[in-house]
Amino acid sequence: MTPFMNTLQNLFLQTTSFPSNNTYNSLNVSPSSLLSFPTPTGLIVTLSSLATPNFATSYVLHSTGNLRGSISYLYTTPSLKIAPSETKELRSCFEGYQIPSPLRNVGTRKDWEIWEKGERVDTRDVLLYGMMKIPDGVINGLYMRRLSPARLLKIMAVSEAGMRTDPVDGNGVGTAKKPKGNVLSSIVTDRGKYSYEGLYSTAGGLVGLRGLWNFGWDPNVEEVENQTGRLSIGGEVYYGIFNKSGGVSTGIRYSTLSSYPGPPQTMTLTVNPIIGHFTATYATKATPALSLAAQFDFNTYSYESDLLLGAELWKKPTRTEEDFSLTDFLGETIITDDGRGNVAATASHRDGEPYLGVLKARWRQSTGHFGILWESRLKSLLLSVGTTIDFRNPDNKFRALGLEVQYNS
Amino acid sequence: MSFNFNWDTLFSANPANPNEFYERAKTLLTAALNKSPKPPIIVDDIVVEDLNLGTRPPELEILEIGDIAEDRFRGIFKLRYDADAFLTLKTKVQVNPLHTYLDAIPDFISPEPLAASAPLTIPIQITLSDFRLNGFVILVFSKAKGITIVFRNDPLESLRVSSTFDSIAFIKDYLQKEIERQVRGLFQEELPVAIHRLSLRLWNPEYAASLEAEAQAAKEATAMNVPRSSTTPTPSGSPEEDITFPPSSSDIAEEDSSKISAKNMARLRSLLDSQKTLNVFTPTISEVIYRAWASAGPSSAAASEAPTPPGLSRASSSMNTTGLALGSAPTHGKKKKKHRVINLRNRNVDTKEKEETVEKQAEEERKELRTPIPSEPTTPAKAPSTPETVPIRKETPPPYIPEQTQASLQPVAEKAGIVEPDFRRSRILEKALLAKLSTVASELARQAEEDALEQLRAWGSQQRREQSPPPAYGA
Repeated sequence: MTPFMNTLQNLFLQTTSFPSNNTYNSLNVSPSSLLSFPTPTGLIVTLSSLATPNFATSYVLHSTGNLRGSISYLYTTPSLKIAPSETKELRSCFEGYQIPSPLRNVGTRKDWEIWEKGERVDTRDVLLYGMMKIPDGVINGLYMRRLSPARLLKIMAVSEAGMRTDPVDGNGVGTAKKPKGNVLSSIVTDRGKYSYEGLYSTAGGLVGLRGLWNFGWDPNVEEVENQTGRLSIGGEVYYGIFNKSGGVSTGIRYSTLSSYPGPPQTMTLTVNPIIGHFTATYATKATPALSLAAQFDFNTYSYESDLLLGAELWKKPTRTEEDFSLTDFLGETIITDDGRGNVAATASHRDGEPYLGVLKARWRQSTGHFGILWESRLKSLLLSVGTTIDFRNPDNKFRALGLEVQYNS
Repeated sequence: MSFNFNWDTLFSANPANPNEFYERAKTLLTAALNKSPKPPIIVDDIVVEDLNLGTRPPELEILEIGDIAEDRFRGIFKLRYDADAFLTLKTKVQVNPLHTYLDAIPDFISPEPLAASAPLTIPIQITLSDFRLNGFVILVFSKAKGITIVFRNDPLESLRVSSTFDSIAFIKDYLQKEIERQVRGLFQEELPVAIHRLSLRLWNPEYAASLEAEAQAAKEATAMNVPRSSTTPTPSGSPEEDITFPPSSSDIAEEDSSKISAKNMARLRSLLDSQKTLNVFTPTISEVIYRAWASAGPSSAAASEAPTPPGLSRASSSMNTTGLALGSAPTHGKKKKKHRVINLRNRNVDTKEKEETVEKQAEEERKELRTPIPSEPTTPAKAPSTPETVPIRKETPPPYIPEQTQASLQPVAEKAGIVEPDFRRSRILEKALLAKLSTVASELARQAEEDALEQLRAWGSQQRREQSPPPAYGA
């Protein structure tokens, strides 16, 4: 289940028209949501509230024998709107296969300018988020700012209680105490046709650069024709200044778009040339209620391979006979008559159909771990029950069994 | 004072299965290595692939005995080791630095790389060899609390690490540094704990019983798994047989207690009783330095009459400290070999220069002495009567015949004919010894400690199987 605060952060990007999935690190977001979804451990209870359109709070209690928790606050300049958990669309709460959104026309800086009596009065949208973990005393902070129509600044910081020796210090024998805190800052530029991101982390002095290029029409230059698929290519480079180590990878993706007549599919191939690691994935939304994904890993140096399989199945409500007959006869529209002359017509759009819940399953060949997750709604509570089963370890089969409850108003 | 390890026999105590010790040690080490949390770069269990304790034993020297009784012991030892033991470990490491980097930082600030953090594990074999240890060990033994061993300083002098990645310099350096750090920790933290546990199992019946119960339960649980009866610890078997670890117990096992003479035992007994009953009588035990005397200094002891009666030839009780510590007193015949401590000829040579020559000459003389000893049976009888004899080296002069003196004596003895050659020789010898000893006594006292150290090393390599104990410390 997507944490409430992450949902709000995505909402912030949406309202400020900054797509979150046109970057290199979200290249295979669809397969990975099917293949590596987390299963809860213990009991997690989240109470959240968007108290005003600009301010939200969230309290999390996490019990795995010992009790932990967190308190978080979020502030945004644009007004956000989120449905309470009773009426929230389940598709938006539980990640699944995502059909890539069409590329946007970014526009120019001038579009953002607001002039009033000869002076510019426009401001930049900002999001501030803070979370304190209890009782660890760890504080996470996030600052997001839309610098320009194409640009986003993100600063993430973690402050831990106490002092420590830097864990990423390559020499190991560190006696110099440093405050336990690190900052990751990044600037993302998304021009629709391409996007790139530069980042710097104080942990190990990591510098990173990653970019994504979409083949085909440029939405800024000409109107996008009815494209059925999109080919994207990208890469990333990292270098740790302090520990003098790095990493490189490149990737390619082909994904069908919403106008594609057949079932939506995504295939990706990522290569890490340093480590010699190849990863190929394939994900498809076979029916509106069923998505399947597979991933194959291969390492050319160690000849190690791995296979991951994942699936999600959305459960529709069992309809009454009356509903059936109505749908059958009237097709797209359901008309109900309460007998007093009030006739209501509700459109039953195929994909937006109210679902009862989703069943997710994943299996990894190398470890033999089998994960299963059921997510649904009970009255006004969003529930998520799951476990990871290790079939190879007969003594301790259930590695993680958990229940997550989320409520927001 | 030092120990003589029966190094070879220590590891093959069980003739039926000579590898039993190594198998046990390997499983113990593997368990110890995997107990503590490993750094994220190590992704698999560390397995001890090969273990060999080499052919040469460590050198252990008694510096001080603070407390000694039937059921307790406290002492300070000096440990030296420089031999050919080696240890081979096998594990798997994560070679993608970005992967381990992500493990080390909080998720919130993870840069979330797509594929740059792909894992690659590589099996690695690490061989540790050329250990050089030098440290002070404090040993406290109590029957109720077991053995406590503490290293007073960092005993590791140097260590050679060779691995699969020797060709890559920075990985080699990193491993060398990291492993040295780990081994230091092992000596100072984990080894004392392991020995303490082992000793508890040996002497504390309650602890052993609880362990047995645990083992029994574990055995029952995994009864179906492996039918390895030889390596699994037998819960009902006597633990003394299993454990050959503590050198003292192994020595006792090697040399049966019949070698301790009844006389000595009686004397020790009376010494013990005299402490309990406030008896003023203190039996004299030769070759033992009492603390009360130690402060007086050996030179003064040499000048005055030695406190011990002239019955020095009661050599069966010589080197009693060894007997106390190791439970074995050397026999008379063997004892003669060890009189090679003092090199009298070198008294004019500079002390500094001497140290090296003494060592070599000691070895040469030892070889020479092996042959002449049977031909001089009367020598020890006369020589001990000299009052100048340094108390701690009472047995030193008698069988020692310096090359020079021996050579000069040879013609005299021949001229005198066959009649009483031994008598003549011993008289001349006595004179020579008296003259030399009186002049050298003070110098000896100063050098004794250094010599002892140097000779220890020589004997350790040459005289492994001999019973003769090295010279006393702190003369």
